Amino acid sequence: MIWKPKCARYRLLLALEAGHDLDEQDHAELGCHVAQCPACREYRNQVQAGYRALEQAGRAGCSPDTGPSLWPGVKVALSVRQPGAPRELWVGWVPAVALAAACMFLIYIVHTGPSFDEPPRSLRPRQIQSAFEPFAEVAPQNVPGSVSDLPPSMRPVPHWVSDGGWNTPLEPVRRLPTYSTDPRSF
Amino acid sequence: MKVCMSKPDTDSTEIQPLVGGGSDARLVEEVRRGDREAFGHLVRRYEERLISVIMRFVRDRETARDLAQETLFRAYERLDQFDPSRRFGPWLFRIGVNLTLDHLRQRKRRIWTNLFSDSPADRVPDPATPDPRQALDLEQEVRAVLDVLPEKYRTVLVLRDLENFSTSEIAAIVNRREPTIRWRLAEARGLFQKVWLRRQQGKSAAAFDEGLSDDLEA
Ligand SMILES: [Zn+2]
Repeated sequence: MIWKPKCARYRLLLALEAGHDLDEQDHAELGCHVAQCPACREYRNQVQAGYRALEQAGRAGCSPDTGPSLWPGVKVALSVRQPGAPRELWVGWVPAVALAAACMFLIYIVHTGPSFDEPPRSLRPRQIQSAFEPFAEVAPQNVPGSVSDLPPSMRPVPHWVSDGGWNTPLEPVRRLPTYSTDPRSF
Repeated sequence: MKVCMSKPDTDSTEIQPLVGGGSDARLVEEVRRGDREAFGHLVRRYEERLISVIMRFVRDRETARDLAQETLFRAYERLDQFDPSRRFGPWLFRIGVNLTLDHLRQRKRRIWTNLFSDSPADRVPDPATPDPRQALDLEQEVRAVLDVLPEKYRTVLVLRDLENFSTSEIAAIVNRREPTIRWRLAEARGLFQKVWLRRQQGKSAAAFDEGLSDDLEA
């Protein structure tokens, strides 16, 4: 039996024809081809046999016992959910983005932020903010223009002295009460 | 190949309202306004068909019910993404079919993992090879053949030839254009016929010609 290249297209049409999915025009064209092509006639029988098996299997399982309604269970579960709330869209990426942002902030602080023991850039003397900043950072504190030359109110406050940030005025250091160890004082 | 519906839509078991409660669009609108009972109407309208379709893929009723329930949850949560100018049924079935196919892919991965385990009980028989010890009925035979087909072909055959959805409905469910679905349906029936014929002739999977193996791997 001779199989012609153009039979490939007709075989697709035959597969559609088997399930009644072919339009009239294609149907007529197919009829002409099949009438003179024994290979396609045989293929038609085979594809129709396959379709009949599918059709019968479809009928066999068309009304399965699906059990009681799902609604009572669904209703209970929905009492904690909102319709149309794009929950999954948010829940998925918000923690990841927050974590990434926190990491980037920390990296920024570690690499570019001021050390807690050095003045903020705005308070540093212009001389220190030179093109050779890495070297200037280690300049002795008593050179002209160093932090020690600033008036006391403008001097940076180490973080362990103040909770209020760089601009919080320095509070007087509270003295701890002293106790006499002299037994006679009791 | 022309896009046509020589098999009219009325031939298919149309996804359409079966239970009272108004049109799908109206019910969806009511659910969006906070009326949970309106969603109950939609559930009762579609649940039987939904479970039935899922059962075509997973076979087990309880698994199908679980998947159907999850489908309904997801539909409820994603109702804001539903375009009211479209039909609710295909949208719901799209969620259900995708969920089911995901479930099957995960199960398949587990089976592949189990194939490397020592337990022979975990091993699945090759569905393309008829087991002479088992007298399968026609439905089981068809299922066995469907099992070896690539997912995209199996899906259209189940939806069209077993569940009788129209090609336009299938296009909406699998999110493809209707000509694509018709083309895929033609290929799927041809492929089914090949495997079916081999199986009926009692040939083993080893006797598959290269063309068929390539088709199945497509
Ligand atoms: Zn031909």
